Order: sequence, then structure tokens, then C-alpha cells
Amino acid sequence: MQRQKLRGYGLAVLCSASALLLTHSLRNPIFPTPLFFAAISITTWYGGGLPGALVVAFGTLALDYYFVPPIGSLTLHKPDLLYLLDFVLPASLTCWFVKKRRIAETSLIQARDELQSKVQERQAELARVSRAMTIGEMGVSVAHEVNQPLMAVVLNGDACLRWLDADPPNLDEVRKTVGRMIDEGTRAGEIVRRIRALSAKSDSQKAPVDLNRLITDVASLLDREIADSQVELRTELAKALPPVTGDPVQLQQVIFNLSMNAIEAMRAAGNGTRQLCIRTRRSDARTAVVAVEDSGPGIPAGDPEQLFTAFYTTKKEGLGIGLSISRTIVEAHGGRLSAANSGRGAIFQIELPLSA
Amino acid sequence: MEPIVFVVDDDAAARASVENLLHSVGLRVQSFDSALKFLEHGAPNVPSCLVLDVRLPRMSGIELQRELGLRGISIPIIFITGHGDIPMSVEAMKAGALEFLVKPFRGQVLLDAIHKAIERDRAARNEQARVAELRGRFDSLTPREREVMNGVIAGKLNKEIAAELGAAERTIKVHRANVMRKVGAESLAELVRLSEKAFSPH
Repeated sequence: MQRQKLRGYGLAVLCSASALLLTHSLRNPIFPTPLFFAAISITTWYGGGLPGALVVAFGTLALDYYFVPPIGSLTLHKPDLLYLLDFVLPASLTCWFVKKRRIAETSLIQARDELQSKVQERQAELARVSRAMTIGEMGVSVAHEVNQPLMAVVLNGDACLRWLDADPPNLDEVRKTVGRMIDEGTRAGEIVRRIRALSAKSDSQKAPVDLNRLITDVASLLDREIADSQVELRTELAKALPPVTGDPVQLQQVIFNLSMNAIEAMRAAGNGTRQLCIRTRRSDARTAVVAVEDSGPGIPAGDPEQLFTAFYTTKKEGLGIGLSISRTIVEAHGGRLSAANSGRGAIFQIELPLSA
Repeated sequence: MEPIVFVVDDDAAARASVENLLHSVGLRVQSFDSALKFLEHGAPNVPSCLVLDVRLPRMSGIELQRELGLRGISIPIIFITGHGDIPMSVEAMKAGALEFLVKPFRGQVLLDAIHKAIERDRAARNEQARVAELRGRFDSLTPREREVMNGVIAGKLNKEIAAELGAAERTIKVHRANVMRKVGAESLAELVRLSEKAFSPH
């Protein structure tokens, strides 16, 4: 703070001296004041009101000394007072207006910065909410996924007891059955691990992400949804796709979101073939593309961009924030998310920069 | 005939666990990974039941139940599901499902349901066989005998039937005795009961 003030006064001295030197070097200028106005404006803008007032004072003295007869003296005759006032008044006004303007500008900048950080906070919050919702949506699927191995464990356990109770006990069957129980328990654990990976971290973490692996994971989480909706899922993954840098959880969420949208759109459209295709490819040396294409009714006529507007939805139970959050996430990764109609249905493309 | 349990579940591990449990109590099992494969295979003519997962790719369990109904294939169905989905279970039970089990369930629960289902199917098959046999007896009647039988069942006297058919009362008496013998009825009441059983829709 102290330093800033000092810098203001330093600026005042520098500007005043420059104005004086330049004006003086002109030798008998017709208007000796313009450069002082410039000095006042600059000093007030960058240094503040008081340094500006100082320049007004310096200017007044300099005018009196160098340009008001008797030149080379601070002596002032009464008629010349008007001449000085002619400078002092507009100069003070200039100083005052510039200071006002400066204050207005500063508070505008502050307000803008505050808004920006608030928007960022909200976006992060929204992303968290949407992730929670995604997890909720998956909950049903996941419950079924976990139930499946659980049922196998329970039934195998019951079978095991019966093999043991047989006379003589059928130990071969017991051994086989216990092996199966272990496999199924492991399978349930793996499902829990996947869902935990999706929900645990709430802060964005950047790491190299293998898009193909990510898609395989998402596809396994979608298994049930796909079976239920009688959708055929195809993945066409580019070989040796280099990693991208980003938050694997967020990117997974985007792909999950787009896939769920596609499945829901196809289900809502009724019968007909339901195909979901997730592809990865390299569009150029620095960009990877993930495309999610369905065979549904496509995007309604009009601007596909409106899909990405928050709270725009075509679903009965949708909030309309999935796509807008997905786009925010992709853009935060330096990429682009776009929508279009392909020949068969809708296609959403995520472009992401490859890790350098 | 040895009963058989059919299992339709798309999850290999779930199938294997049900198979294992049923093998452990010595039941014959045949399993399928899709509803369509089961339809293709069809149900054999032995006491059987179907353990059916509700959620299946392409054709769901509920759809399979409907399709079996349309094709006139009657087999007791035990639904198993990962969700306690109430509307779905109501729909399934209305359509004649025997049980609706929510995963995970104990083996004994499934075995009890299966035994109940097989018993019910066995009884239904026996009943069906009895009705078919009975219908065969009625089918062996000549047209004339059938006319006489209709008159008897309607509560008419031999004299009235004779007048209606333009035959001698003695002839009617002979026909009437033949009807009772062929159908295997000892009294008029039994004849009425058997004819009802043979020709009622169930």
C-alpha cells in the first residue's frame, strides 16, 4: 500500500517534470498548458487523486514561474491571476473526473472478477451435483450388477451344503462350487471398485487418460441398461491411441452421460433397431475424437446448439443439465463437444487434445 | 417321467449357480441364455417348470411369459429378479406366474418353489390326460348314440326320445345301455358329470 502511494507521487513528479521540460523546450508556446493536462490525466489514472492534485499544484507553480510575466519569478500581478485560474479550475476538474472514472472502472473490474469466480464455483457445484445424479442413475444398474454375483454366491453356498451333506460327501463338487463362489465374490468386488472410482474423488485430478480403457469401463457399467433397453452396443476403438490429459472420472461421466442419453432417446422412440456405437479415432496429430452415435430419432430440427443450453431437455424426467455440464467438462479439458445428425440417428463428438 | 427344470438367465454365473443347486438335489436342469433359445427348444411332454429372469436382452421374461401364453404352452413359471419391482411382479403374477423371487434368495426358497411348480404341472398333466381319455370315450359313440345321450342328459324319458328320433322305445333302451357302457357311467348322474368334465373348457 505504502509503496503504491509512493509510486503515485513518484509518477506525479516525473510527469510534471516531463511536461515542464517539454513545454519549456518549445520556447514561448502559444498554449503552455496542454502537456500539463496530459500529465494530470496520466498521474490521476495510474497514481490516484492526491498525486494528481500535486501535478495541478506543480503545474500552477511552473506556469507562474516560467510563463507568466515576470518570467523567472513567482511574483504574480493581479490581472494575471485570471490566467492562472484559467488553468487551475479545468485542471482540478480534469483531476476529479479522471479519478471518478478510475474508481468506476476499478469496481467494474472487481465485480467482473467476482462474478467469474462465482460462475466457476457454481459450475464446479453443478458438476458435483450432476455426478451425484449420474451415480444415482447408475445405482439401479449397479444394484442389479452386484445382486447377480451375490445370488450366485448364496445359491452356490446352499448347493455346497447339500454336496457336503450327501453320503458320501461329494467333495469334487464342493471344491468346484467354492471356486465359483470365490470368482463371484471377486466379480462383485470389481463392480464396487468401479462405482467407487466414479464417486470417490470430488476434486478434479489431471492424469494421463487412456480413452479406450475408459470406454470399456463405461460400457461395462452400461451393461444392464443396454440389456434392459434391448440395445446393441458396438465399440470401435482406434488401436494405439495416445493418452489425453484430464480427469478420468469427469471424462467417464461425459461418455456415460452421452450414452445414457442415446439409450433413452432410442427407448423413447419405440421399436426399430437400437444400435449404440462408441468410436475412438485420431483426427490429426494432436487430437483424439470420441464419437457416440445412436440409431434413434436424431436431434430435433433447429439449432443443435440449443441442446447444450442449461435446462433445455427433451426428456420427461430430465433436468436438462447433463449436456451443458458435459460441454463444460470437455471445454475445461481444452476440447470441444458437438452434436449433429448422422444418417442413422444422432452423433455426439468429443474432441480432446492428446497429451504432449 | 423324470421332471425337468428349465432355467433362462443371460448371466452365465447365475445360470451355473442355479444349475449347481438343482444338481445337488438331483434335479434335471436345462438352461438357456435367452428367451428366444428357450422358445426354439420348446417344452417337452414331462412335468417341468421354468425359472425365468425378468430382465433379459431382446425378449424379456415377461414377454416370454406372454409369448408362451399365446402359443398355448402352459408351464409353471418362477420369476427371479434383481429388483423388487412391484408393478412388474403384479403383472407377472396376474399372467399366472407361480412365484416372484427377488435376488439374492436362499436356495431352499427356490427349491420349494420348484417342487411346488413341478407338482402343479404334474397334476395339470394328469388331469389333462384324464380329460383326453374321457373325451376319447365320448368320441367312440356313434352319431345315433350321441343323439340318445343328449336326450338322456336333457332329462327326457326313453319314450320321449323315441318319439323325437322316430324309433322304437326298445331300440332307444339298447342305445342308452351302449352309451352307459362305452362312457363307463353307472348312473345318469355320473353320465352328466363325466360329460361336463369332458366338454367343459378346462
